[in-house]
Amino acid sequence: MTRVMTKVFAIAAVVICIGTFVTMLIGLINSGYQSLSFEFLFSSPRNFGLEGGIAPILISTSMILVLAILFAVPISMLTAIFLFFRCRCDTVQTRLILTVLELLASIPSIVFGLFGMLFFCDFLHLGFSILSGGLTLALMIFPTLCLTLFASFLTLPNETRMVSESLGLSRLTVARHLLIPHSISGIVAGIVLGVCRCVAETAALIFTSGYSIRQPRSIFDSGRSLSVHIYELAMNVAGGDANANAAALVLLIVLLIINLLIFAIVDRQPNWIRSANH
Amino acid sequence: MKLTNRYRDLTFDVIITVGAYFGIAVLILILILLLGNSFPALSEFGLGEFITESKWNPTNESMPKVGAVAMLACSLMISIGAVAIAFPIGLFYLAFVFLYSPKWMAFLLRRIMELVGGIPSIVFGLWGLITLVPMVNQYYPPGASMLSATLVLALMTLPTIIISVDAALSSCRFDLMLASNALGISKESYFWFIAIPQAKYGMIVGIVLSLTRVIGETMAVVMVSGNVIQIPGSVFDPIRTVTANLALEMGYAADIHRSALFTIALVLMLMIGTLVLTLRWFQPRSFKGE
Repeated sequence: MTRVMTKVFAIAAVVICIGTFVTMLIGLINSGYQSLSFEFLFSSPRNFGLEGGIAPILISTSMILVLAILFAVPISMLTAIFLFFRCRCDTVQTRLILTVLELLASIPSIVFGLFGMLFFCDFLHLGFSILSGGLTLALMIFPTLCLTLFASFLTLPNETRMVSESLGLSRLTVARHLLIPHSISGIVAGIVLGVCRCVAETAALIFTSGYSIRQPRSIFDSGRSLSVHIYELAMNVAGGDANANAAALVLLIVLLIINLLIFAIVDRQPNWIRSANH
Repeated sequence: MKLTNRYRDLTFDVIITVGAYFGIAVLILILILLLGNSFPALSEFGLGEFITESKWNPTNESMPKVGAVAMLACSLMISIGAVAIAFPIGLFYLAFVFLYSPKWMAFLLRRIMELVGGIPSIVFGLWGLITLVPMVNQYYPPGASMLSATLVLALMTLPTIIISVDAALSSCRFDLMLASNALGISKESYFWFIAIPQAKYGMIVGIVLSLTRVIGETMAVVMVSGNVIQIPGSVFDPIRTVTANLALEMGYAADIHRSALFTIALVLMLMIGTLVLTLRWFQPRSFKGE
C-alpha cells in the first residue's frame, strides 16, 4: 500500500510542480514576446513606460548592481576570513557573529528598504539615489554572502591548514595564497548568487533608489530598477501589462544566463579558474 | 616575498576583526533607527494597542487607531498556509527524485528547482496578477484574495523547501540504506521510516527558514492579495499583510502614521528574529557548513 501510494503521489507532485512552472513560463512568454524587440531594449520609455523601451532602466539596474557587489564583497570577505580563522575555537565571539549573520539574513527586504531610506537617504543625505539603493542592497546580500563564503572556505582540507600553521605562515599569506585560490569557485558562485538576489529585488529599492525613469547621469541620481519598473507597470499604470510582461521576460532571461553561469562554475571543477590564480 | 611577518599578521587580524563586527554594527544600527523612529507612536499608543487592536486608521484626526492584529494575523496565516501546501508537495517531489528517477532525471529535477528558486518574487506576483487572480475571480470574486496570495507564496517557497529538505535527506547515513537493503526493506519504507526521521532536524530548519522568508515577502503579496485591512471571513476575502502595508503606505505617510509604520516593521522584525533565535537555540552545537 505504502509503495503504490508513494509512487502515485510522487508522480503527481512532480507533474504538478513542473506543470505549474511550465504553464507560468509559457504564459509569460506568450504575453510578453510581442513587445520584446531590439527597439524595446535600446530606447527610452515614453508615456510612463506604456510605449518605448527600457534602456535607462537597464542602465540604472546595472549601476545599482555594480555598486551593491562592490560594497558587499570586500566586507563579506573580511567577515568570512575572520570566521574561518576562528571557527575551530567555538567561542562566544564566533557564535555571536554567526547568530547575528543569521538574524540579518532573515530580515525581510522591505525592512532593509526602510532602513536604507532612514540611514542612507535621510541621515547621510544621499536622497533617492542609485547609491542609496546600491548600499541598501549591499547590506541585504552581505549576510548570505558571508555565510556562503565561509562555507566554501571550510572546504579547505584540514591538512593544508595544519601544514600552513606548522610552517608559521602569516594569516594574510594563508588567506591570499591558500584560502582564496582554493575556494575561488565557491567565492565566484556566492557572488553570482548575490547578483541574482540583487537583480530580483524590488521591495528594498522602492524607498531607496526611487522611481525616476530618466537616464541616470551619476550615481547620485534616482534610477528605477527593472523589477521596480515591472511593479509600477503592473500595479500603477493602466494597460501596462504587455510591457510589464516583456520586462519580466528580460529579467528572466538575464537571470537564466546568470544561473547557467553558476552551473558552469560550480559543477565542472574549475581548473581554469584555479590555474589562472596560481 | 616575506610570508611570515608577525607585524603584518597583527594588522591583518585587526582588519578582519573590524570586518567581522560590521554585521553586528549593522544590526544594532537597524534596531536603533527603527526604535528611534517608532518612538513617537509607541509613546502615544503603547505597544499594547499595536498587538491587541485590529483597526488600522492612523490618519484619523480625532480617533487614530494603529492596531496591527489583522495584518499580523494575515501575514502568519498565509505564510503558514503556503508552507503547509508546499511542504507535502515538495516531500513527494523529493520522493520521486530519491526513489524513482534515474540519475540524469534526478539531476535535471534538482536543477529545475534551483532555477525556479531564482525567479524573482515580482515575476511570481505578475503571474499571479495576470493569470491566477482572474481565474479565482471567475468563481469567487474579487479574485485578489487570501487564497491567491497563499497559492502564489506556496509556489514561491516550493523551491526553497525542496532544496533544503533535499540537503537534509542527502546527508543521511549511507550504511543504514545498505542495511535496510540487506534486510529487504522496500525503498519506500526506507524513505518514510528511516531517512525522514533521521533528517527531521534539518527538515525543520529548512521549513522554519522558508517560513521567515515567506513572512517577509512583499511584492508578490501586494500584487495578488487585494490589500484590504481586515481579518478575513473566508479564504476568498481580500487581505493585507504587514509587509504589504509598509510598501503601500510608507510612500506618503507622515508624522504619527509614519512612526506607526516603523513600529509595525519593528514588530515584524522581532517576530522573525524570535523564530530564528529559537531555531538556533535548539540547534546542536556544531557549525553550519560542517
